[in-house]
Amino acid sequence: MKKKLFAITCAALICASFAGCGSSTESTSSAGNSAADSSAAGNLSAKTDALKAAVETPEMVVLTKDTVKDILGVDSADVTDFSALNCGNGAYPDAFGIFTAKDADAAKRVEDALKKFVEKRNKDFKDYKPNEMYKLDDSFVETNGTTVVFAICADNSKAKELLK
Amino acid sequence: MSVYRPPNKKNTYHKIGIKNSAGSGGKQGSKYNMPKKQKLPTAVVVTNILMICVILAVCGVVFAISFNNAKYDKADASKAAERSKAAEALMSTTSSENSESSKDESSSAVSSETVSETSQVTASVAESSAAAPVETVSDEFDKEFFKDDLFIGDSIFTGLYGYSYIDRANVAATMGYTPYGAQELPFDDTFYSGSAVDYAKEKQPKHIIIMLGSNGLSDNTDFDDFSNGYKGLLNRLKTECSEAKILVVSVPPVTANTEYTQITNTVIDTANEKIKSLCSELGVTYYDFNDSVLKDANGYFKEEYAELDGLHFKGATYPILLSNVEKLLKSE
Repeated sequence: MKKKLFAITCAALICASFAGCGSSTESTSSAGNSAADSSAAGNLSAKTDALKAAVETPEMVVLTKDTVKDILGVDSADVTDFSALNCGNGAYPDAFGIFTAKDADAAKRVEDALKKFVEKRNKDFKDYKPNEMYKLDDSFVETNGTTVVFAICADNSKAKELLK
Repeated sequence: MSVYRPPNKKNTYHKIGIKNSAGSGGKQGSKYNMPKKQKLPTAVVVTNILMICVILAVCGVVFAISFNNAKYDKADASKAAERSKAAEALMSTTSSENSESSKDESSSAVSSETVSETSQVTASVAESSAAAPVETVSDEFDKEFFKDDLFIGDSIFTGLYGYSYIDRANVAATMGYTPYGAQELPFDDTFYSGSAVDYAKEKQPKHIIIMLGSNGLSDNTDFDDFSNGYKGLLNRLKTECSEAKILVVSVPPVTANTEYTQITNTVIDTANEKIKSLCSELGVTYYDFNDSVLKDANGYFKEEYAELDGLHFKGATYPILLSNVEKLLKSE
């Protein structure tokens, strides 16, 4: 009985050490996010991270409350939390994100801003890179209560599934 | 009353085991007084396996740490080598406006101060999972240095604010922009309704940094038309922003596997010769970013600096450009 107990203890220790390795990786990742912006954290960034892992994307930039207005046109004052990524270098139209708006009116403003952004991406890439237009053809901006999600990526149905 | 009892398989097996053990090892058992060959308890076996796992895990961690240290040592060494290469390459940067002596000052300033002081880069890049750390030349720059400047360019320069290296207000760039377009077409009508030249006129920047020319290049490019477009842009900027110092950056090369098969590095080199010559004629500084940083030994865009399409910049490439441009402008 003692030997069994000892074996179980050893197994538990090993599991704990592996779990420790895992958490160090995660903490690196979350440290990166917090350096980028404390507002783009938690559950929302977990969703965008999941999408980034599931769909092939170019190099993406994590948007912060200081940059989200310039890039997406979303006023950070309208959101309580968000996580959004954008291909920063002009090569690809990829961008996606999830926003929690302060209220229904703010959600409408966020939705309108994102629709304008998608429209501009359409205009920019239509002649410039027609082979990338498939990402825009089924891109979406959707609002559910105070949550607004959008995506322009290689698999927008996957994006819809993961961001909701 | 008789009750059926199923045979106890465990006991049966145990008995057979004893019998077999006695049969095969009977002699030895009797000689060394080992009557029964006992099976090791499962707990002991499991413990031993687990201990081996622990030892292997510890070895793995030690190996990983050692490997990482060796890798970073190697990266540091090549970083230093690339820095000195960049410093040498910057020496060849031409400025027709300035005399040979100012060129010497420029190069000495760069080589004595390869790494600049303050980096205020705020962008955060979500690296792709397969991305390796980029070995860079000096990538430190002072964002404040460019606060009164204007960058005019095509989609590549949209990355300056796309990665937050430069404020949106300091960039007049858009997809497909050309030297002609920069004179006539709005670069982003959600931001400013006029052209890049209109914006420059209104803004009156201290420095104007231009990188245009990739769009429309092919084997069929009419280089006279290309030069005329560039000349028109430079002349207009010189007229409208007479106090501004203008710097033109070379058209970047393409990688060996670029998506843009119509653009070859031969065509790009020709375009850059035209631009360089034009800059010399008009007294504008030309910076050859290609030879100093971007090109590999075969003249292709180095993969580590290029986006997947083989033409645009990765996020890590911009700070290198900004670092070098800052040094160049400071030295003049």
